[in-house]
Amino acid sequence: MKELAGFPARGACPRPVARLLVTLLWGASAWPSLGAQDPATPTPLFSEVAFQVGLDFKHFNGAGGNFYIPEIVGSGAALLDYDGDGDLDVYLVQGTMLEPGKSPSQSWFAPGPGWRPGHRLYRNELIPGGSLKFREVTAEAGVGSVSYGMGVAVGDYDNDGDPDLYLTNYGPNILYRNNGDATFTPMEGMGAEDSRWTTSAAFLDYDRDGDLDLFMTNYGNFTVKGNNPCHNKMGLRDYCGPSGYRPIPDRLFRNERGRQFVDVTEDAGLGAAFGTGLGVICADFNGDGWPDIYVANDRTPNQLWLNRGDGSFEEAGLFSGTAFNVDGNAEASMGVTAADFNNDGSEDLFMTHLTEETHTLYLNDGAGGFADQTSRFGLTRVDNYTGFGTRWFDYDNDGLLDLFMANGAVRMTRLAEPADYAYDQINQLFHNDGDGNYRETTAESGAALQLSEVSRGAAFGDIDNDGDVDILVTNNNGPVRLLLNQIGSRNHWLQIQLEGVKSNRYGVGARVGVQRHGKKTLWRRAHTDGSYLNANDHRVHFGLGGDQKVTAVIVHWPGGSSEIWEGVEADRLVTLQEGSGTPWKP
Amino acid sequence: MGRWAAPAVFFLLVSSDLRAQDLPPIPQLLPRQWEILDPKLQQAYARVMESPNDVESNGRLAMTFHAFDQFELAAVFYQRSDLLQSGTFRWPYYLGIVRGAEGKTSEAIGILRKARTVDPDYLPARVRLAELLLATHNQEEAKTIYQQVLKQHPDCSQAHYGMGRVQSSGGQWQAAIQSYRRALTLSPGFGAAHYALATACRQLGMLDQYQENIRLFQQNRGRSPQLDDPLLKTVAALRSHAEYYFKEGLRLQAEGRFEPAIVEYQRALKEDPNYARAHANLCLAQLLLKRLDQAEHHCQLALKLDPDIHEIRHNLGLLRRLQGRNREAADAFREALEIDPFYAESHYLLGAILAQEERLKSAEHHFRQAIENQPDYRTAHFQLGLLLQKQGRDAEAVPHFRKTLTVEDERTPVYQYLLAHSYARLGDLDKAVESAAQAREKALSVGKGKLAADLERFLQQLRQAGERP
Repeated sequence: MKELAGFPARGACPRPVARLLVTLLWGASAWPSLGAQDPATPTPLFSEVAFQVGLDFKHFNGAGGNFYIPEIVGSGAALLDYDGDGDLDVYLVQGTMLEPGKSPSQSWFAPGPGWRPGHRLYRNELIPGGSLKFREVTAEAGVGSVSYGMGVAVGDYDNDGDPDLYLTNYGPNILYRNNGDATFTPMEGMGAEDSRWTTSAAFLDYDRDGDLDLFMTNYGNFTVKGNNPCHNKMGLRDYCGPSGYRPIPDRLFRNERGRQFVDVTEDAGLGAAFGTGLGVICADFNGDGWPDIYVANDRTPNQLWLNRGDGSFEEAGLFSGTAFNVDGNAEASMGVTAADFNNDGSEDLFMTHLTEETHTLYLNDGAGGFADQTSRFGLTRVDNYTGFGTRWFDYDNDGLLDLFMANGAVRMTRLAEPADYAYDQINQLFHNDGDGNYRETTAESGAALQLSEVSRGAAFGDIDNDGDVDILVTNNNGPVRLLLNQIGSRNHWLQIQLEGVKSNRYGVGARVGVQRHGKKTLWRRAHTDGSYLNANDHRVHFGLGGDQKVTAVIVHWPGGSSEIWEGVEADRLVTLQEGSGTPWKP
Repeated sequence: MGRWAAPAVFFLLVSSDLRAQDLPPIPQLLPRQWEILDPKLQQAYARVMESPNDVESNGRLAMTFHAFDQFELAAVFYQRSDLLQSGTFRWPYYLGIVRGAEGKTSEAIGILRKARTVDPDYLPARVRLAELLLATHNQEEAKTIYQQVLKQHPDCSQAHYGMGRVQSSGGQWQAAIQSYRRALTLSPGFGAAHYALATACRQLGMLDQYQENIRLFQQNRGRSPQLDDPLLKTVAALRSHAEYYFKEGLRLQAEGRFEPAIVEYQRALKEDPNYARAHANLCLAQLLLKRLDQAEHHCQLALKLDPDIHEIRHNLGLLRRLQGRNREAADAFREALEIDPFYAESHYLLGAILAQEERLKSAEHHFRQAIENQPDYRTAHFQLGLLLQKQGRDAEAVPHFRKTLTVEDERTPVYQYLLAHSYARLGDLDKAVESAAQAREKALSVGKGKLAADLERFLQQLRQAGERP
C-alpha cells in the first residue's frame, strides 16, 4: 500500500508499480463542527456554510419582465479537483442578460456595485484536519467567460490526468482543456461545439475505446426575438411551459483520441427521437457491459438509448417502461439519478418533476425493463415540490442510498409582484430505511434545509474530505449553498478513486463493488454526470455502517477487464489503478 | 367592481365572532396586484371583503381562484368556507382537490376522507380518493373503495382501471389484464388503460398484445374518460379566459380537428381581441382548410399585433406559397428564421423555393439546417438527396435517400428508385439492383403500376450494364 495524495503528477504515473494506492484522510473527529452545538439539541444532518467558507457567488438570471424561459432554467455547478491537490474545487455557472445590448442594471435584480459578470472558479484551500476555505481563482485559471450559462460537465477528455470542463450555454458551448498547471484553455474548433440551447451534458466512453465522448441534451427553439409571451390563468405574465417551444435534437460527439470531437448523432441513431431535454445520465442499464444514455425531457417522453455496442444506439424508452410514468404520462422530467439503490445489482432510475406530478422511481428488473414503483417506496406520501437536482447518495454512511431533491417552482405559486420572484420552495432529504421505504428527514436536517429558495442544481461530493457526502446547491437568482454533512462520518466509509490505463483515465463508467462479510455486495458506478446541470465528485463513495474493513473491492473497468483487491480497510480514500489488482471473474 | 375598491383590501379583519378567529386570514393584495386581477376575481374578492364571514362569498372566491389554478389561495378560502359551514360536502371536496394539485397528497387524502363522511356516495370523490391512495401505496384502502364503487357502478371505467393498478402492484398480472380490458371495453380511448395493459402484457411475455396496446396507447395518449362531476363543472364554468380557449384550440388543431379549433380560437378572440397567437393559429387553420382570404385576414391582424411571432411569418410564407407568390413566400420564411433560426419547417420550405430557383448552394444550406434541427425530417432528406444527386454528388446523396426509407409508405418506392440511381452512378450495381428491385415490389404493393414498369426497365438496364465486360 502506498500513499498518494490526490491525482498523480502529470506524466509521472507509476502505472505498473502500485497494486493498491491509498490516501488516508483525516478522521471524522478531526473535522471541527462549523457551528456551536447545543448538546441538548440533536446535531442537524447538514450545516449551510457557503458564505462562511468563501463561496460568495450569487446567480444572476437577468430577468426583467420579459419572462425569457432560460432565466428560470439555470444554472449548475461542478465539483472537480482542477489543481490536483486532492480536494474538490467548485465551478459555478453564471447567467447574464439575454437581450444583446442590455446591461445588468436594467434587470429586476440588478447586481450591486463591484459585481463582475461571468462564471466563477473557487479553489478549495482545505487544510487537512483544519478549516475549509475557498478562494476565487477564476481569472488566473482562465475560465471566467461571460455567457448565458446553463450547466457543466467534467471529464478528462484528453486522458492527461486532470479534469477538463464542458460549459453548456444558451448560445455556443465552451470546452475548456485543463493545462495541468491550474489553468485552462478554451478549445475552439475541437468539433464539440453547439450554439443552440444546451442544458445538461455528460462525458461517457460509449465506444469503450478508452477516451471520453460527450453527450449533450438540448432544450427548445427559444429565441429572444421570438419570445412567446405566456400568462398564467390569472392573466399575469409568467414563464411558458415546454409546450411553448419545439424541442431541438440532442447530440453525441465521439472523441478522437483527445484531438478532435466528431458529431456522430446521426450515425449513432440518436437523431431519431428527442424532446425538450433537461437531464442526462449514463449507465449500463441492461447489464450488457455497454454504457447507455438516459435523457430526461420536460413534458415529452424520456429516452433510454441502449448502446448496441457497434457505435449505434436503439431508443428503448417506451419498451423499457421509462418513457412514461405508470399512467402513461410524459412528465416534466428535470433532474435524474441512476444507482443501485436497492442493492440488487442493477441501476435504477429516479427523476424529479413538477409539484402536481410525482417524482418517479423506475425499478430495473436487471435486464433493462423498468416499472414505475414510486408509490411503493414511500416517496408520494409527503408534500411534493417542483424538483430539479437530485441524487441517490448515502448521507449517513449506512450503506443505503438516500435521496436529496433541490426544489424550486417554474410558475409563480402565489400572488406576488413579478419582481418578488415567487418561485421559492424548500429542498428535501429522504432517508432509505432499508425496509423498502424512504422517510423524509428534511425537518431533521437543520436550518440548511429550511431555506426556501429557487434551487436548481445539486452537486454531490466529499468537499471537506471527511468521508461523507456534502451537497452544493445552486439557486436560480440566489446565492450558492454548501450543505456540509455533519453526521455521515460517524459511520465507516470508503472512497475509491479509479485510475484507468486501458480505460479512460478516471474510469468513468466502471462498476465498483464492495464485498462485505455476510452482507450483499454494494455496487456503485464511477461517474460525474446526473442530477441537474451539474458535475459531481468523480470518486466513488461507499458508506459501510459499522464495518471497519471490506472483504474486497471489485472493479469492472469500461475497457472490459475485471479486477479484485482483497482486504481493504475502511475510512480512507483508495486509488485503484487498472492492472494493479488480481484478475477476477464473476 | 372598479379600482375604487382597491384600498378596501388593506383592511385588517377583526371579527368578534369566536369561530371567525380560527379562520385562516384573508391574504392581502397589493394595489398593483389588485389592478391586474381578472374582473371575475375582483368581484369575488370584493364580496368577501364586504362579508368576510359569509360562506358563499368565501366559497365563490375559492372556486374562482381554483378555476384560475391559484390553488394556494383557493385552499385558504375553501378552508374558510369549510370552517364557516362545517358538515358540508362540497368545501372539503374542493379543498381536497386543490391540496392534491398542490402536491400535498397526504393532506388531500385526509380531507377527502372527511368529505366522504358527509357524503359517502359522491362518485368522483370516491374515485379521486382511491387514486390518491393508490399513489401513496395505500393499496388495501384503494382496493376497498374500488370494489364498493364497482358494485354500485359497474360501468365506471376509472374504477376498473384503478382496480387493475392495485392488482398489478400486487403482481396479479392476469387479474389486472382483465380489469384493464373491462376499463377499455367501457372506454376504448382510455390512454392510461392501454399503457397499463401493454405493461402487464409485457410482464407476462405477451409481446404481440404488448405491441398492439402500445400502438393504441400512442393513438390515445393523454385521453381519459371524464367522470360526471357536477361540482367540478361549476368551477370549470368560471374558467372563461382567452388562454383557456386558445389552448383548447391548440389541442383540437393537434388532433386535426380544424373546425372546432377555429371555434375555440374565435372564443379566445372574443375574450381578448388582441390575442396575436390566436389570430396566427386561425390563419393556419383557415389555410389548412384552403380558405385563403380568411387566412390572409388573420395573418395580417396577427402581424400588426405582434410582428415578432415566428409562426405568423411562417404561416404567411405558407400562404404566399399557396398563392404562387414564391418570392414573397421566401421573404416571409427568411423573416421567420430571423426570429427563430432553429425552425426546421421554415428552413425546408425556403430551401425548396431556392432549389426551384436553381440557387443550389443556398438551398443546400437550408435543407441541411432543416435536418440539423429535425434529424428525422424525411422530405428534407429527400430534397437534399435530390439536390446533391442533380449535382453529381451521389456519394453524399446516398445517406439522405437511405434516411427517407426509415418510414414505409406510398412514397417509399420513389425514394428507393432515386437511391438505386445514385448507387448505379457510383458504380455499385449490386446495391442498385437490390434497391431497384425492392422499389419495384413496393410500387406494385401500393398500386403504382407505371412506376413499377419504369423500375423494371431500369432493372433491365442495370442487368445489361452488369453483363458488359
